[in-house]
Amino acid sequence: MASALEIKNLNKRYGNYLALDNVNITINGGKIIGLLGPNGSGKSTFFKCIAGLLTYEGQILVHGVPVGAESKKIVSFLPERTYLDLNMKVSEVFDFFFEFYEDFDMDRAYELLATLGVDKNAKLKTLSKGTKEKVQLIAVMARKAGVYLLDEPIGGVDPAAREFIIHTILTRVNEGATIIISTHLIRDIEEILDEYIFINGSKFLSYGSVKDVHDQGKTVDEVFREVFRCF
Amino acid sequence: MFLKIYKHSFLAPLKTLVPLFIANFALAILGGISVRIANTIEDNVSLATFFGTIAGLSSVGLTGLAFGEFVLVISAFKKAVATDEAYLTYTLPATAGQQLGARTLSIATWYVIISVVSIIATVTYSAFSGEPSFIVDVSPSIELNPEATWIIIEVVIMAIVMVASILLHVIFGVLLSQKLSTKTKTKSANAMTVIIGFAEGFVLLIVFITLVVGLLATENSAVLNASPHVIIWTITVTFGMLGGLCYYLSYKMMSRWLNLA
Repeated sequence: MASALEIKNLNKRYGNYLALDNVNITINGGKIIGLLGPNGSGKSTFFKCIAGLLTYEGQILVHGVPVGAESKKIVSFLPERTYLDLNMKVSEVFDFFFEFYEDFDMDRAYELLATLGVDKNAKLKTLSKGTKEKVQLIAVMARKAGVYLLDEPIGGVDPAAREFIIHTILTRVNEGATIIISTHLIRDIEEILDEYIFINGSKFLSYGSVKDVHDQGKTVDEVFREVFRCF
Repeated sequence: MFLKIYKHSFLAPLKTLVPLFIANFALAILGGISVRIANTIEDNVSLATFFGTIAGLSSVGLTGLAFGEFVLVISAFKKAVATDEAYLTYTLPATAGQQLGARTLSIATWYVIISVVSIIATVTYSAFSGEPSFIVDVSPSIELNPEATWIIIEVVIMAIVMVASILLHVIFGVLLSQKLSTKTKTKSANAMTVIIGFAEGFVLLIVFITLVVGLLATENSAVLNASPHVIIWTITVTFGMLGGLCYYLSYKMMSRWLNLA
Protein backbone atom coordinates (compact mmCIF):
# COMPACT_ATOMS: atom_id res chain seq x y z
CA MET A 1 0.00 0.00 0.00
CA ALA A 2 1.32 3.45 -0.98
CA SER A 3 2.25 5.96 1.71
CA ALA A 4 -0.09 8.88 2.29
CA LEU A 5 2.66 11.22 1.19
CA GLU A 6 5.99 10.48 -0.40
CA ILE A 7 8.18 13.48 -1.05
CA LYS A 8 11.57 13.28 -2.71
CA ASN A 9 14.08 16.07 -3.33
CA LEU A 10 11.43 18.77 -3.07
CA ASN A 11 12.74 22.25 -3.79
CA LYS A 12 10.74 25.44 -4.10
CA ARG A 13 12.19 28.80 -5.05
CA TYR A 14 10.61 32.24 -5.15
CA GLY A 15 13.08 33.95 -7.43
CA ASN A 16 16.39 33.70 -5.58
CA TYR A 17 14.78 32.80 -2.27
CA LEU A 18 14.81 29.10 -1.47
CA ALA A 19 11.56 28.40 0.38
CA LEU A 20 11.93 24.60 0.53
CA ASP A 21 15.37 23.03 0.37
CA ASN A 22 15.63 19.38 -0.67
CA VAL A 23 12.78 18.05 1.44
CA ASN A 24 12.59 14.26 1.68
CA ILE A 25 9.87 12.70 3.79
CA THR A 26 7.47 9.75 3.77
CA ILE A 27 4.29 10.02 5.80
CA ASN A 28 2.10 7.02 6.45
CA GLY A 29 -1.69 7.14 6.66
CA GLY A 30 -4.00 7.41 9.66
CA LYS A 31 -1.97 9.97 11.59
CA ILE A 32 -2.50 13.51 12.80
CA ILE A 33 0.73 15.37 12.21
CA GLY A 34 1.73 18.81 13.36
CA LEU A 35 3.80 20.82 10.89
CA LEU A 36 5.44 23.13 13.35
CA GLY A 37 7.60 26.13 12.77
CA PRO A 38 7.78 29.88 13.24
CA ASN A 39 6.16 32.32 10.85
CA GLY A 40 7.72 32.28 7.39
CA SER A 41 9.33 28.89 7.90
CA GLY A 42 7.86 27.37 4.73
CA LYS A 43 4.78 25.63 6.16
CA SER A 44 2.29 27.21 3.75
CA THR A 45 4.63 26.70 0.80
CA PHE A 46 4.88 23.01 1.67
CA PHE A 47 1.08 22.70 1.74
CA LYS A 48 0.61 24.63 -1.48
CA CYS A 49 3.03 22.32 -3.28
CA ILE A 50 1.06 19.26 -2.15
CA ALA A 51 -2.29 20.93 -2.95
CA GLY A 52 -1.14 21.71 -6.49
CA LEU A 53 -1.10 25.48 -6.07
CA LEU A 54 2.60 25.92 -6.68
CA THR A 55 5.04 24.56 -9.18
CA TYR A 56 8.13 22.92 -7.69
CA GLU A 57 11.17 20.78 -8.40
CA GLY A 58 11.26 17.20 -7.16
CA GLN A 59 8.57 14.60 -6.66
CA ILE A 60 5.42 14.54 -4.54
CA LEU A 61 3.21 11.47 -4.51
CA VAL A 62 -0.13 11.51 -2.69
CA HIS A 63 -1.23 7.91 -2.10
CA GLY A 64 1.08 7.04 -4.99
CA VAL A 65 -0.44 9.65 -7.32
CA PRO A 66 1.60 12.63 -8.60
CA VAL A 67 0.20 16.07 -7.82
CA GLY A 68 -2.48 16.95 -10.39
CA ALA A 69 -6.19 16.63 -11.05
CA GLU A 70 -6.24 13.06 -9.67
CA SER A 71 -4.41 13.89 -6.44
CA LYS A 72 -6.76 16.82 -5.84
CA LYS A 73 -9.60 14.30 -5.53
CA ILE A 74 -7.99 12.93 -2.38
CA VAL A 75 -6.43 16.06 -0.89
CA SER A 76 -8.59 18.42 1.14
CA PHE A 77 -6.84 21.74 1.67
CA LEU A 78 -7.75 24.48 4.12
CA PRO A 79 -5.73 27.61 3.32
CA GLU A 80 -5.09 30.23 5.96
CA ARG A 81 -7.34 32.72 4.16
CA THR A 82 -11.02 32.70 3.24
CA TYR A 83 -11.21 31.35 -0.28
CA LEU A 84 -14.97 31.08 -0.65
CA ASP A 85 -17.18 33.43 -2.65
CA LEU A 86 -18.58 35.67 0.09
CA ASN A 87 -21.79 36.20 -1.89
CA MET A 88 -22.61 32.52 -1.45
CA LYS A 89 -24.96 31.18 1.18
CA VAL A 90 -23.61 28.48 3.49
CA SER A 91 -25.86 25.92 1.77
CA GLU A 92 -24.51 26.99 -1.62
CA VAL A 93 -20.96 26.41 -0.40
CA PHE A 94 -21.89 22.87 0.58
CA ASP A 95 -23.70 22.34 -2.75
CA PHE A 96 -20.57 23.53 -4.55
CA PHE A 97 -18.34 21.09 -2.67
CA PHE A 98 -20.87 18.29 -3.17
CA GLU A 99 -20.86 18.88 -6.91
CA PHE A 100 -17.11 19.03 -7.34
CA TYR A 101 -15.89 16.50 -4.80
CA GLU A 102 -17.23 12.98 -4.97
CA ASP A 103 -16.12 12.37 -1.38
CA PHE A 104 -18.10 15.26 0.13
CA ASP A 105 -20.48 14.07 2.85
CA MET A 106 -23.43 16.46 2.92
CA ASP A 107 -24.99 14.93 6.06
CA ARG A 108 -21.72 15.30 7.90
CA ALA A 109 -21.45 18.95 6.80
CA TYR A 110 -24.92 19.84 8.09
CA GLU A 111 -24.32 17.87 11.27
CA LEU A 112 -21.23 19.98 11.98
CA LEU A 113 -23.05 23.14 10.96
CA ALA A 114 -25.83 22.38 13.43
CA THR A 115 -23.31 22.32 16.27
CA LEU A 116 -22.24 25.79 15.18
CA GLY A 117 -25.80 27.07 15.14
CA VAL A 118 -25.30 28.88 11.84
CA ASP A 119 -28.26 29.37 9.51
CA LYS A 120 -27.64 27.47 6.29
CA ASN A 121 -29.28 30.32 4.36
CA ALA A 122 -26.94 32.93 5.80
CA LYS A 123 -24.64 34.60 3.29
CA LEU A 124 -20.96 34.25 4.10
CA LYS A 125 -20.42 38.00 4.00
CA THR A 126 -22.88 38.41 6.88
CA LEU A 127 -20.91 36.04 9.11
CA SER A 128 -18.07 37.00 11.42
CA LYS A 129 -14.49 36.23 10.38
CA GLY A 130 -14.30 33.37 12.86
CA THR A 131 -17.58 31.84 11.72
CA LYS A 132 -16.55 32.10 8.08
CA GLU A 133 -13.38 30.19 8.95
CA LYS A 134 -15.41 27.56 10.75
CA VAL A 135 -17.77 27.13 7.78
CA GLN A 136 -14.73 26.74 5.55
CA LEU A 137 -13.28 24.16 7.92
CA ILE A 138 -16.56 22.24 7.90
CA ALA A 139 -16.59 22.18 4.10
CA VAL A 140 -13.02 20.89 4.05
CA MET A 141 -13.46 18.33 6.84
CA ALA A 142 -16.79 17.02 5.49
CA ARG A 143 -14.86 15.48 2.64
CA LYS A 144 -13.79 11.86 3.06
CA ALA A 145 -10.34 12.70 1.77
CA GLY A 146 -7.16 10.71 2.08
CA VAL A 147 -5.05 13.69 3.13
CA TYR A 148 -6.18 16.86 4.90
CA LEU A 149 -3.90 19.87 4.85
CA LEU A 150 -4.95 22.45 7.43
CA ASP A 151 -2.96 25.67 7.27
CA GLU A 152 -3.13 27.56 10.56
CA PRO A 153 -6.69 26.44 11.37
CA ILE A 154 -6.52 27.82 14.91
CA GLY A 155 -4.60 30.99 14.23
CA GLY A 156 -6.53 34.14 14.99
CA VAL A 157 -9.62 32.51 16.53
CA ASP A 158 -10.88 32.65 20.10
CA PRO A 159 -10.39 29.71 22.54
CA ALA A 160 -14.01 28.52 22.11
CA ALA A 161 -13.55 28.42 18.35
CA ARG A 162 -10.28 26.53 18.81
CA GLU A 163 -12.16 23.93 20.79
CA PHE A 164 -14.70 23.55 17.99
CA ILE A 165 -11.95 23.26 15.38
CA ILE A 166 -10.00 20.68 17.36
CA HIS A 167 -13.19 18.70 17.96
CA THR A 168 -13.98 18.83 14.23
CA ILE A 169 -10.50 17.61 13.38
CA LEU A 170 -10.64 14.81 15.92
CA THR A 171 -14.01 13.54 14.73
CA ARG A 172 -12.83 13.10 11.17
CA VAL A 173 -14.98 10.67 9.26
CA ASN A 174 -12.46 8.34 7.71
CA GLU A 175 -10.05 6.67 10.07
CA GLY A 176 -7.34 5.97 7.51
CA ALA A 177 -6.92 9.64 6.64
CA THR A 178 -3.81 11.66 7.31
CA ILE A 179 -4.24 15.13 8.76
CA ILE A 180 -1.37 17.60 8.65
CA ILE A 181 -1.90 20.75 10.70
CA SER A 182 0.43 23.69 10.43
CA THR A 183 0.60 26.01 13.39
CA HIS A 184 2.89 27.74 15.81
CA LEU A 185 0.29 27.41 18.61
CA ILE A 186 1.59 24.00 19.60
CA ARG A 187 0.21 23.86 23.12
CA ASP A 188 -3.37 24.05 21.82
CA ILE A 189 -3.09 21.07 19.53
CA GLU A 190 -0.39 18.94 21.11
CA GLU A 191 -2.91 16.60 22.72
CA ILE A 192 -4.34 15.55 19.37
CA LEU A 193 -1.07 15.06 17.51
CA ASP A 194 0.44 11.64 16.74
CA GLU A 195 3.58 12.97 15.07
CA TYR A 196 5.34 16.26 14.56
CA ILE A 197 7.56 17.87 11.93
CA PHE A 198 9.75 20.83 12.77
CA ILE A 199 10.42 23.11 9.85
CA ASN A 200 12.38 26.30 9.66
CA GLY A 201 13.86 28.38 6.90
CA SER A 202 13.15 25.80 4.21
CA LYS A 203 14.74 22.90 6.12
CA PHE A 204 12.92 20.01 7.73
CA LEU A 205 14.71 19.82 11.06
CA SER A 206 13.08 16.77 12.59
CA TYR A 207 10.18 14.36 12.24
CA GLY A 208 9.13 12.20 15.15
CA SER A 209 6.50 10.69 17.37
CA VAL A 210 4.74 12.80 19.97
CA LYS A 211 4.52 9.75 22.21
CA ASP A 212 8.32 9.40 22.19
CA VAL A 213 8.65 13.00 23.29
CA HIS A 214 6.13 12.47 26.07
CA ASP A 215 7.95 9.28 27.13
CA GLN A 216 11.04 11.43 27.67
CA GLY A 217 9.00 13.52 30.10
CA LYS A 218 8.80 16.50 27.75
CA THR A 219 6.17 18.17 25.66
CA VAL A 220 6.45 18.96 21.97
CA ASP A 221 6.06 22.61 22.90
CA GLU A 222 9.14 22.40 25.12
CA VAL A 223 11.15 20.60 22.45
CA PHE A 224 10.02 23.20 19.91
CA ARG A 225 11.31 25.99 22.14
CA GLU A 226 14.65 24.20 22.58
CA VAL A 227 15.07 23.61 18.86
CA PHE A 228 14.09 27.08 17.75
CA ARG A 229 15.81 29.00 20.51
CA CYS A 230 18.96 29.34 18.43
CA PHE A 231 17.16 30.63 15.35
CA MET B 1 -15.64 18.27 -14.77
CA PHE B 2 -15.54 20.54 -17.83
CA LEU B 3 -19.32 20.97 -17.77
CA LYS B 4 -19.40 21.54 -14.01
CA ILE B 5 -16.81 24.30 -14.25
CA TYR B 6 -18.60 25.76 -17.27
CA LYS B 7 -21.90 25.80 -15.39
CA HIS B 8 -20.45 27.50 -12.34
CA SER B 9 -18.43 30.06 -14.24
CA PHE B 10 -21.47 30.82 -16.42
CA LEU B 11 -23.80 31.24 -13.43
CA ALA B 12 -21.34 33.33 -11.38
CA PRO B 13 -22.19 36.73 -13.00
CA LEU B 14 -25.84 35.84 -13.72
CA LYS B 15 -27.39 37.53 -10.68
CA THR B 16 -25.67 40.80 -11.53
CA LEU B 17 -26.28 40.66 -15.26
CA VAL B 18 -30.04 39.98 -15.27
CA PRO B 19 -30.92 43.38 -13.70
CA LEU B 20 -28.56 45.03 -16.19
CA PHE B 21 -30.31 43.29 -19.10
CA ILE B 22 -33.63 44.59 -17.77
CA ALA B 23 -32.02 48.04 -17.58
CA ASN B 24 -30.99 47.62 -21.23
CA PHE B 25 -34.60 47.21 -22.32
CA ALA B 26 -35.90 49.91 -19.99
CA LEU B 27 -33.35 52.31 -21.44
CA ALA B 28 -34.19 51.23 -24.99
CA ILE B 29 -37.90 51.85 -24.40
CA LEU B 30 -37.20 55.19 -22.69
CA GLY B 31 -34.93 56.28 -25.54
CA GLY B 32 -37.36 55.14 -28.22
CA ILE B 33 -40.31 56.89 -26.61
CA SER B 34 -38.21 60.02 -26.16
CA VAL B 35 -37.41 60.07 -29.87
CA ARG B 36 -41.10 59.66 -30.72
CA ILE B 37 -42.12 62.48 -28.35
CA ALA B 38 -39.32 64.75 -29.60
CA ASN B 39 -40.53 64.22 -33.16
CA THR B 40 -44.14 64.98 -32.31
CA ILE B 41 -43.45 68.20 -30.41
CA GLU B 42 -41.00 69.83 -32.79
CA ASP B 43 -42.79 73.15 -32.28
CA ASN B 44 -41.79 73.25 -28.65
CA VAL B 45 -38.01 73.56 -28.95
CA SER B 46 -37.31 73.29 -25.25
CA LEU B 47 -39.25 70.08 -24.76
CA ALA B 48 -38.02 68.62 -28.03
CA THR B 49 -34.44 69.32 -26.94
CA PHE B 50 -35.13 67.78 -23.55
CA PHE B 51 -36.50 64.55 -25.01
CA GLY B 52 -33.85 64.54 -27.71
CA THR B 53 -31.20 64.70 -25.00
CA ILE B 54 -32.83 61.82 -23.14
CA ALA B 55 -32.88 59.82 -26.38
CA GLY B 56 -29.20 60.57 -26.97
CA LEU B 57 -28.22 59.69 -23.42
CA SER B 58 -30.19 56.45 -23.71
CA SER B 59 -28.16 55.49 -26.77
CA VAL B 60 -24.93 56.22 -24.93
CA GLY B 61 -26.28 54.33 -21.91
CA LEU B 62 -27.03 51.28 -24.03
CA THR B 63 -23.45 51.22 -25.31
CA GLY B 64 -22.11 51.75 -21.79
CA LEU B 65 -24.27 48.97 -20.39
CA ALA B 66 -23.05 46.49 -23.00
CA PHE B 67 -19.45 47.40 -22.18
CA GLY B 68 -20.14 47.24 -18.43
CA GLU B 69 -21.80 43.85 -18.74
CA PHE B 70 -18.76 42.46 -20.52
CA VAL B 71 -16.45 43.94 -17.88
CA LEU B 72 -18.55 42.19 -15.21
CA VAL B 73 -18.14 38.85 -16.98
CA ILE B 74 -14.38 39.36 -17.13
CA SER B 75 -14.34 40.46 -13.48
CA ALA B 76 -16.10 37.23 -12.49
CA PHE B 77 -13.39 35.30 -14.34
CA LYS B 78 -10.69 37.32 -12.65
CA LYS B 79 -12.30 36.76 -9.25
CA ALA B 80 -12.15 33.01 -9.80
CA VAL B 81 -8.56 32.81 -11.01
CA ALA B 82 -6.72 35.79 -9.56
CA THR B 83 -8.08 36.51 -6.09
CA ASP B 84 -8.20 34.41 -2.91
CA GLU B 85 -10.95 32.38 -4.61
CA ALA B 86 -8.22 31.00 -6.84
CA TYR B 87 -7.22 28.79 -3.89
CA LEU B 88 -10.53 27.00 -4.36
CA THR B 89 -10.48 27.18 -8.16
CA TYR B 90 -7.07 25.59 -8.47
CA THR B 91 -7.67 22.90 -5.87
CA LEU B 92 -10.68 21.56 -7.76
CA PRO B 93 -9.94 18.17 -9.29
CA ALA B 94 -9.65 19.52 -12.82
CA THR B 95 -6.85 19.86 -15.33
CA ALA B 96 -5.61 23.24 -16.52
CA GLY B 97 -7.15 22.47 -19.92
CA GLN B 98 -10.58 21.87 -18.37
CA GLN B 99 -10.33 25.01 -16.26
CA LEU B 100 -9.26 27.26 -19.12
CA GLY B 101 -11.50 25.68 -21.76
CA ALA B 102 -14.66 25.81 -19.64
CA ARG B 103 -14.06 29.35 -18.47
CA THR B 104 -13.19 30.57 -21.97
CA LEU B 105 -16.36 29.00 -23.34
CA SER B 106 -18.38 30.60 -20.55
CA ILE B 107 -16.99 34.07 -21.38
CA ALA B 108 -17.68 33.50 -25.08
CA THR B 109 -21.25 32.45 -24.28
CA TRP B 110 -21.80 35.60 -22.26
CA TYR B 111 -20.30 37.68 -25.05
CA VAL B 112 -22.85 36.24 -27.48
CA ILE B 113 -25.71 36.77 -25.02
CA ILE B 114 -24.65 40.38 -24.33
CA SER B 115 -24.40 41.03 -28.08
CA VAL B 116 -27.86 39.55 -28.70
CA VAL B 117 -29.36 41.56 -25.85
CA SER B 118 -27.75 44.71 -27.23
CA ILE B 119 -29.12 44.04 -30.71
CA ILE B 120 -32.61 43.35 -29.39
CA ALA B 121 -32.41 46.49 -27.25
CA THR B 122 -31.42 48.51 -30.32
CA VAL B 123 -34.32 47.07 -32.31
CA THR B 124 -36.62 47.85 -29.36
CA TYR B 125 -35.30 51.40 -29.30
CA SER B 126 -36.01 51.70 -32.98
CA ALA B 127 -39.49 50.17 -32.70
CA PHE B 128 -40.54 52.50 -29.86
CA SER B 129 -39.18 55.52 -31.69
CA GLY B 130 -41.76 54.95 -34.41
CA GLU B 131 -39.12 55.23 -37.10
CA PRO B 132 -38.55 52.33 -39.48
CA SER B 133 -35.53 50.29 -38.66
CA PHE B 134 -32.51 50.92 -40.83
CA ILE B 135 -32.27 47.16 -41.29
CA VAL B 136 -35.68 47.15 -42.97
CA ASP B 137 -34.59 50.09 -45.11
CA VAL B 138 -31.26 48.70 -46.19
CA SER B 139 -32.00 45.01 -46.56
CA PRO B 140 -34.11 45.11 -49.76
CA SER B 141 -31.52 47.28 -51.53
CA ILE B 142 -28.80 44.64 -51.22
CA GLU B 143 -28.55 42.46 -54.28
CA LEU B 144 -26.51 39.41 -53.57
CA ASN B 145 -24.62 37.60 -56.29
CA PRO B 146 -22.62 34.45 -55.45
CA GLU B 147 -19.35 36.41 -55.21
CA ALA B 148 -20.84 38.97 -52.80
CA THR B 149 -22.44 36.22 -50.74
CA TRP B 150 -19.10 34.45 -50.39
CA ILE B 151 -17.40 37.67 -49.31
CA ILE B 152 -20.09 38.30 -46.72
CA ILE B 153 -19.58 34.80 -45.34
CA GLU B 154 -15.82 35.39 -45.21
CA VAL B 155 -16.28 38.73 -43.47
CA VAL B 156 -18.57 37.10 -40.89
CA ILE B 157 -15.95 34.40 -40.28
CA MET B 158 -13.29 37.10 -39.98
CA ALA B 159 -15.41 39.03 -37.49
CA ILE B 160 -15.99 35.92 -35.39
CA VAL B 161 -12.28 35.07 -35.38
CA MET B 162 -11.37 38.67 -34.50
CA VAL B 163 -13.83 38.76 -31.60
CA ALA B 164 -12.66 35.34 -30.37
CA SER B 165 -9.06 36.50 -30.62
CA ILE B 166 -9.77 39.65 -28.61
CA LEU B 167 -11.58 37.57 -25.97
CA LEU B 168 -8.52 35.32 -25.72
CA HIS B 169 -6.36 38.42 -25.37
CA VAL B 170 -8.52 39.62 -22.49
CA ILE B 171 -8.29 36.20 -20.79
CA PHE B 172 -4.53 36.25 -21.27
CA GLY B 173 -4.50 39.77 -19.80
CA VAL B 174 -6.36 38.56 -16.72
CA LEU B 175 -3.93 35.71 -16.11
CA LEU B 176 -0.96 37.96 -16.79
CA SER B 177 -2.26 40.47 -14.27
CA GLN B 178 -2.51 37.63 -11.75
CA LYS B 179 1.21 37.08 -12.17
CA LEU B 180 1.94 40.79 -12.02
CA SER B 181 -0.29 41.59 -9.07
CA THR B 182 0.56 38.59 -6.87
CA LYS B 183 3.16 40.51 -4.91
CA THR B 184 1.63 43.94 -4.85
CA LYS B 185 -1.98 42.81 -4.32
CA THR B 186 -3.15 46.11 -5.70
CA LYS B 187 -6.85 46.81 -5.69
CA SER B 188 -6.49 48.07 -9.21
CA ALA B 189 -5.73 44.57 -10.46
CA ASN B 190 -9.25 44.27 -11.90
CA ALA B 191 -8.95 47.50 -13.81
CA MET B 192 -5.48 46.56 -15.01
CA THR B 193 -6.82 43.28 -16.35
CA VAL B 194 -9.48 44.92 -18.43
CA ILE B 195 -7.08 47.61 -19.61
CA ILE B 196 -4.48 45.02 -20.67
CA GLY B 197 -7.05 43.00 -22.56
CA PHE B 198 -8.69 45.88 -24.32
CA ALA B 199 -5.40 47.65 -24.98
CA GLU B 200 -4.10 44.53 -26.70
CA GLY B 201 -7.22 44.22 -28.78
CA PHE B 202 -7.17 47.93 -29.62
CA VAL B 203 -3.50 47.91 -30.59
CA LEU B 204 -4.10 44.91 -32.82
CA LEU B 205 -6.94 46.65 -34.57
CA ILE B 206 -4.91 49.83 -35.07
CA VAL B 207 -1.98 47.84 -36.43
CA PHE B 208 -4.17 46.07 -38.94
CA ILE B 209 -6.05 49.16 -40.00
CA THR B 210 -2.76 51.02 -40.45
CA LEU B 211 -1.28 48.12 -42.33
CA VAL B 212 -4.21 47.74 -44.70
CA VAL B 213 -4.68 51.46 -45.27
CA GLY B 214 -0.93 51.95 -45.69
CA LEU B 215 -0.67 49.18 -48.20
CA LEU B 216 -3.70 50.36 -50.09
CA ALA B 217 -2.27 53.88 -50.27
CA THR B 218 1.01 52.66 -51.72
CA GLU B 219 1.23 52.86 -55.47
CA ASN B 220 1.62 49.57 -57.29
CA SER B 221 0.70 47.88 -54.04
CA ALA B 222 0.08 44.20 -54.37
CA VAL B 223 -2.86 44.74 -52.05
CA LEU B 224 -4.57 46.91 -54.66
CA ASN B 225 -4.52 44.04 -57.08
CA ALA B 226 -5.07 41.32 -54.56
CA SER B 227 -8.36 39.57 -54.33
CA PRO B 228 -10.49 40.65 -51.35
CA HIS B 229 -10.52 36.99 -50.35
CA VAL B 230 -6.76 37.09 -49.81
CA ILE B 231 -6.98 40.21 -47.67
CA ILE B 232 -9.86 38.86 -45.59
CA TRP B 233 -8.20 35.50 -45.03
CA THR B 234 -4.85 37.10 -44.21
CA ILE B 235 -6.51 39.11 -41.46
CA THR B 236 -8.55 36.10 -40.31
CA VAL B 237 -5.57 33.75 -40.11
CA THR B 238 -3.37 36.36 -38.40
CA PHE B 239 -5.99 37.07 -35.75
CA GLY B 240 -6.60 33.36 -35.37
CA MET B 241 -2.91 32.70 -34.81
CA LEU B 242 -2.60 35.55 -32.29
CA GLY B 243 -5.66 34.27 -30.44
CA GLY B 244 -4.22 30.77 -30.49
CA LEU B 245 -0.94 32.06 -29.09
CA CYS B 246 -2.81 33.82 -26.27
CA TYR B 247 -4.71 30.61 -25.47
CA TYR B 248 -1.47 28.63 -25.44
CA LEU B 249 0.22 31.14 -23.13
CA SER B 250 -2.86 31.23 -20.89
CA TYR B 251 -2.78 27.44 -20.67
CA LYS B 252 0.89 27.50 -19.77
CA MET B 253 0.20 30.10 -17.12
CA MET B 254 -2.60 28.01 -15.64
CA SER B 255 -0.57 24.83 -15.56
CA ARG B 256 3.19 25.28 -15.42
CA TRP B 257 3.56 28.82 -14.20
CA LEU B 258 0.91 28.67 -11.51
CA ASN B 259 2.21 30.41 -8.41
CA LEU B 260 -0.24 31.40 -5.72
CA ALA B 261 2.25 32.86 -3.32
